[in-house]
Amino acid sequence: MGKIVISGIGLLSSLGTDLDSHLKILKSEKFLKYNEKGCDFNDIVRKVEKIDIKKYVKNRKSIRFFSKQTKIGCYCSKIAIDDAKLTDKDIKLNERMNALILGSGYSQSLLPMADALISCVDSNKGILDYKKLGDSGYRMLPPLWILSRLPNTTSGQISIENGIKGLNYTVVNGVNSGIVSIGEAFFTIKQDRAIRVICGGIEDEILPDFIYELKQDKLLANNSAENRVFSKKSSGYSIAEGGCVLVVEKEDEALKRNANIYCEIVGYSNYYIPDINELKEETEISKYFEKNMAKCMKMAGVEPKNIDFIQASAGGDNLLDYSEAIAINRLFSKNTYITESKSYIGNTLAASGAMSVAFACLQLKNNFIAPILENKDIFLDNELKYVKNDAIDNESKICLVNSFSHLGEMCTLILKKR
Amino acid sequence: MDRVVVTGVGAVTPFGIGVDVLWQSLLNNKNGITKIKDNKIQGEIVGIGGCLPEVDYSKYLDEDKELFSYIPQNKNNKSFFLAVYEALKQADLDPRKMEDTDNIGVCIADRNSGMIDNIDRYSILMQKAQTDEGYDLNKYFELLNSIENSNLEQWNDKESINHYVSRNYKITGPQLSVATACASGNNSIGEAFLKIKYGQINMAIAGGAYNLDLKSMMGFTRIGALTTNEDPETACRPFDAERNGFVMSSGCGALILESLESAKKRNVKILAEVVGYGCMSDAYRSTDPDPEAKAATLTIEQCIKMANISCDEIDYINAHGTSTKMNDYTETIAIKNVFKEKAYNIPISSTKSMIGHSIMAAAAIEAIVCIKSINEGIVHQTRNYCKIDTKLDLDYVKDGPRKLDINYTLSNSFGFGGQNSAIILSKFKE
Repeated sequence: MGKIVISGIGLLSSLGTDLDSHLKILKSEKFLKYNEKGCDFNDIVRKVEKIDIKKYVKNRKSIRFFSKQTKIGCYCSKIAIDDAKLTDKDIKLNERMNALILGSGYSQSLLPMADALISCVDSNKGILDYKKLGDSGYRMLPPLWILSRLPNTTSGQISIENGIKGLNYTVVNGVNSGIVSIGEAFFTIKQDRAIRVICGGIEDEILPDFIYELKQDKLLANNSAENRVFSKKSSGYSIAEGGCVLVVEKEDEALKRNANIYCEIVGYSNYYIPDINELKEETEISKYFEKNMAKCMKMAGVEPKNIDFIQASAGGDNLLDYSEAIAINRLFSKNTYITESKSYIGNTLAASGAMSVAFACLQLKNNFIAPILENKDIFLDNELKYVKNDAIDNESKICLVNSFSHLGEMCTLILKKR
Repeated sequence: MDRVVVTGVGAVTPFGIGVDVLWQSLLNNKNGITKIKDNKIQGEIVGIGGCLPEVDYSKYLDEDKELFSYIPQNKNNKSFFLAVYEALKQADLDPRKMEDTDNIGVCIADRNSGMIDNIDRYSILMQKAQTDEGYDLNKYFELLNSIENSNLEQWNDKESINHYVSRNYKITGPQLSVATACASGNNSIGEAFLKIKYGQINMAIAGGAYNLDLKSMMGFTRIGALTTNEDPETACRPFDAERNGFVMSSGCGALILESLESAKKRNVKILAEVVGYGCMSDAYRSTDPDPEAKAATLTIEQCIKMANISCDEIDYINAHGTSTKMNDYTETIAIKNVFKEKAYNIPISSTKSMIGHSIMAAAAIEAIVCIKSINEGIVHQTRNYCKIDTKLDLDYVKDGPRKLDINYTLSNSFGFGGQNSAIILSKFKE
């Protein structure tokens, strides 16, 4: 069995639209953490820079029904495919062995149907008039509107744009969608069902009703300043838009094109915590996290001492962050560096795990480890090896990437430098 | 590589709860499509469909107090769960009693549709936040935050059916929720099948679940994909010359897949074997299938190749058969492309002709129908197939159920976005 590598990355986050802007901030620049104390929607959600999608889409007519998710997906895919030096000709050579497995966002706002709905609000009675909605209101939706609401439209559109004609499916595993798609891509190639998989995660536009519902679930920080990773002082997540697409392929395919190989994928684990709602103690949850990481290492044939750094899942949820810290402590104690991505870009939900993988790739490739943007009141600070304040130069060989969901899903990937 | 068998099936369909209810209804050519009793769906929005049956958990309390004493407020999970319960029961499997459930995968396709339940209150707030340029997001957020005594669903009830099942049965194994629109059920079964085949897991609860709602009815009416025939008796007519769109439906199909070794060890009855899976993308248009059905053809061929059989060995095809002009045409083309002259001799029927199209659940329910057909030696007819479309000239099982000795069945599913998937189920032989 040949090696399976990551050869292309397309990233879009609140940090920027290209790899260089991400690398610059992670590596050398002092990054001023988004530090709004306001509680307005625009203070809470980290938005991505607007992209001129026309530059990245061949069939411009189709843009009319694109959701923001589809725009981000098409953009990130184009960047990833170019980064992998993959041409249309390369894809066409064995087009049915090029697959697409994409993690799709789960924010399901009602705002995209607002024009139809509010035209039917009976202001006097303060109710929605369903008769009117059915008679005329629904016609205010564009004819192709439903396409923008289907979770698989983005993957369908990416396949159309890039001629990806093999296996194609969308993963909707909540915040783990992106990382699960990468893990499944790894398995798919291992099983010889594809030579290459375009994978990753794309979140949809984040809108107020979705944020409100997350807030009801007590998942959000009161404001962005109170979102602190691995910190006792954090009051929850900071939610963000974003997308990340990777090209995962057989190494010999990448080498044929002299592509830029970031790393090899050597391990993947995906388990669930069925009693997540009942567990209130960090030590109980940490046992599951520990198991997930241990199983991944077993699959990869590595031991804790071989892991140079951990790209942690932590994002500001006290229970999960502390549980992860305990699990890391049990397995790695103070021997392994710890970094993370969410203090830079927030929690990009369906994209978040894929984002962490991309950040890990950049660090492995460029021989550094980025600091976590927190240095006060950190869980188990004296017992763990957090990277703080400044990036460190480190010729790491193996990185472990975690993604743990508040809904109980756990996923770990292990990446090895080539 | 392991052989993969099916040891349990469960279904909730517009006909009611349980596989037997579904099967008997299909053999009796019944119609599960009705007027939708939801006062939110009115006017021009298509008002017929297949609806989830009423569910009464108290009937199950004596059987399993732990599972049924909590009644989920989420009506979808409340119904879908019964299909999983039935399947596990048939497979004589209770993960709660197992020491280790890391090797059980949960792969049921479904979607998050919770927010639509708050459409009344949110619409009014959106109106207040409307500006000349669009919507003031800060204001909308502020208004939402001012809602008092929220009646929002409880946290537990917003979860997917995958989570709900894993939580109730204490399953720690991998979760995979696949979304490929109308092809989702087949992809879920197919991916679970390969996970077992390649030894990643031993067992899986696979399938699909879907419930129609205002959002989907509005959207699919607007795009013109639903039939405009408002008569529930005749609206769904796959392959018929007068078909003019699909009928939205609801349901859940659940299958217990496991390695042959595991099934033998447990000494459980084997219902069928999963032997093939294919999946290819049209990469053509988001709105239409490829008129030449290239990817659909290759998907079926890939599936047959994986099953290591010849085209001649397929005894029955459970068609995607949606009742849309294009699907039924392109599916026929794909079948002809693959099977050549033999295509005319394979009985093909559409389960959707009787229960409509339950999108993410459809293929899982149809896989169960294939298993029943294998075991009972009979295939159901295609309801409302009356007037021949000259371009569609295959054997769509017109005149009632037909006795048939079946070794291999092919089940097709094709979806919006150019998704194509197919699975092959076979009679189990040592």
